[in-house]
Amino acid sequence: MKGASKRKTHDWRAMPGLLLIGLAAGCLSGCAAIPLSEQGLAAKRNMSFGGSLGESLDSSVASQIEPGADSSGGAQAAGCIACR
Amino acid sequence: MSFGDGFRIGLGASLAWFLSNITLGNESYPDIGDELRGLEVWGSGDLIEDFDVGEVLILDFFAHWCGPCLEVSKELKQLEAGGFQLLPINVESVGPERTDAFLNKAGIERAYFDPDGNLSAALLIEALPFVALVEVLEEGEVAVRRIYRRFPGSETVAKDAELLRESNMYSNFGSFAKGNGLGRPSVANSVKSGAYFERYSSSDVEIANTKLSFNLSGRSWESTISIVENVSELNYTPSDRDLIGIAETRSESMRQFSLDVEKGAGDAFKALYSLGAYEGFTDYRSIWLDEFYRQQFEPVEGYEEADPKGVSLSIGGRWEYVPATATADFILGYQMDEISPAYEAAPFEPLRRGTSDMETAFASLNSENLVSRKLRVRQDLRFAETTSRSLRTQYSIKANYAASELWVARFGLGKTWESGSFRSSYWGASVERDVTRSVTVGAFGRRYWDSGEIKDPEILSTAAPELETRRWGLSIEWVWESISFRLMGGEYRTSYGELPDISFQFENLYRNRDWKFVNASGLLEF
Repeated sequence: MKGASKRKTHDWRAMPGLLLIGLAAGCLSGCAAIPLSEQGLAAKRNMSFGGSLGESLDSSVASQIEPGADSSGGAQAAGCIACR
Repeated sequence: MSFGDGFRIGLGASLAWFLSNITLGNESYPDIGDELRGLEVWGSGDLIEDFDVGEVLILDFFAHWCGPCLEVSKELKQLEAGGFQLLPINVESVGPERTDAFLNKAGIERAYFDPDGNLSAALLIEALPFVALVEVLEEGEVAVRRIYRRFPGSETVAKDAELLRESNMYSNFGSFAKGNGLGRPSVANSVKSGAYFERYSSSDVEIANTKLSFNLSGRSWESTISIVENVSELNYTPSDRDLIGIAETRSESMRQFSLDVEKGAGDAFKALYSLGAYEGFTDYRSIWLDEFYRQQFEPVEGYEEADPKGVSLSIGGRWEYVPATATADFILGYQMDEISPAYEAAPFEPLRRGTSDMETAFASLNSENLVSRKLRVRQDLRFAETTSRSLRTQYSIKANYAASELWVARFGLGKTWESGSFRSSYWGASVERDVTRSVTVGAFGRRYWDSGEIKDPEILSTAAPELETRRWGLSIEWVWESISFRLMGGEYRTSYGELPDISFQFENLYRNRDWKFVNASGLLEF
């Protein structure tokens, strides 16, 4: 919890723009096609995202408790549904 | 321009985009006679036999790790009974025993191997399955007559091959359009059924979440129906200083339905549609607060029993800008929630009921990239605006790294910003190892932090203080022919920061908890 107060001093307003740039760079990094003969490892079952059985790092119950981790949208994702 | 205006313009633009036709250029292929004669018979290493002039061949490229290839190969195998010449061509040298198992499942007795990848390179193959029709010409030339980057079904392939055989109608063609489908094809009439169960238990709260999903897919579409039931059991305990409240056990269930549809809209595009609805409390915190307000104000005029529910819809598109390597999604959505409201009482004034209707508009941009043969990365950027709240920005990045044939490491981190009111971040990692071909074991850990939403500690508020959580556990996964099952379990710790003394009524809501959790999920494919 002590580290939390330090984070409040950062200027977060510039972050969305920086993230857009990072996202674009990440997209471009995938522009070079991987040869077919080298796609075997990447095709492993647990190399996919949101695989058939879900991911161990995600949890639908934990996301109810962590308002900032919920990406399903809506009032719950807004963090505080009964704040005044 | 407000966020709402941008949302409406974006929605209109995306609709127009999907209604328009996307045309891709033609692509020419050279004579592939030399590359075809470089194929080896799988298992023996002998060179492939020569072919008669005028013969039409169906080339079926596959690898044992390619899931959809099995169904494609099975379908094409049936064409041999109709007199068609089929060449199943393996492109993977690693794991020959897995290739043999693939051939057994597909019922293929004789297959070929592209040892140096020359034939795959000549045909510009970037993703599997890949099917082509070729014709043997005079003087040893072999001409490519038809390419199917998305498998259209064995009937279409047979029909095209028959036309080619009988009329030689394509003989003057020098180039061919790509097959009008996605680089990563879907197989007809595939059905998957999944079941997920998750239970979290602490000293005063138990949450059980059950989800059933049914996935149906055709050649150019895929739909998923999901039904969720979330049951929360709460031992409501008021603060010792709360003179009105009494301890109460309360159980609430939330039911949710959603439909997701993906529809192919060109060679590399998919349209994405989603529709959902729910009824009931979506989390234990809102149940706790609803019970608090019920005990405080139920006898007072103006109090209404809460009836939380909501609907959502979204529309978007997926662009596979490098086949089997890179995709980008863009999604616009809208959600309407009726929540359990807050109440406020003041002397000599009627009871005030807080806002219960919330609207959310959101836009998201997601990308998934195969950065190298061992590294796959996914990024998500999301903007959302909810009634009476500031614009919320969320970003997350996940990376999966295959260290070897047996080991996979997964990493993820994310951040959320809501101007002036809320921030959160999380990171997590897991490592998984294949113990046998059917069993994978793993361990994972995750840490989350948020700033809470208390704006002024001098004012009574239901807002949560700072929150930090830690989750860790172990997993084991079994995979059989068409059934997979996973079991996970571990501990979850939620720690809240200090609550302002003026809001003491909520000290038992925002108390630290140690949870145990278990998660079981299974998937059956038909």
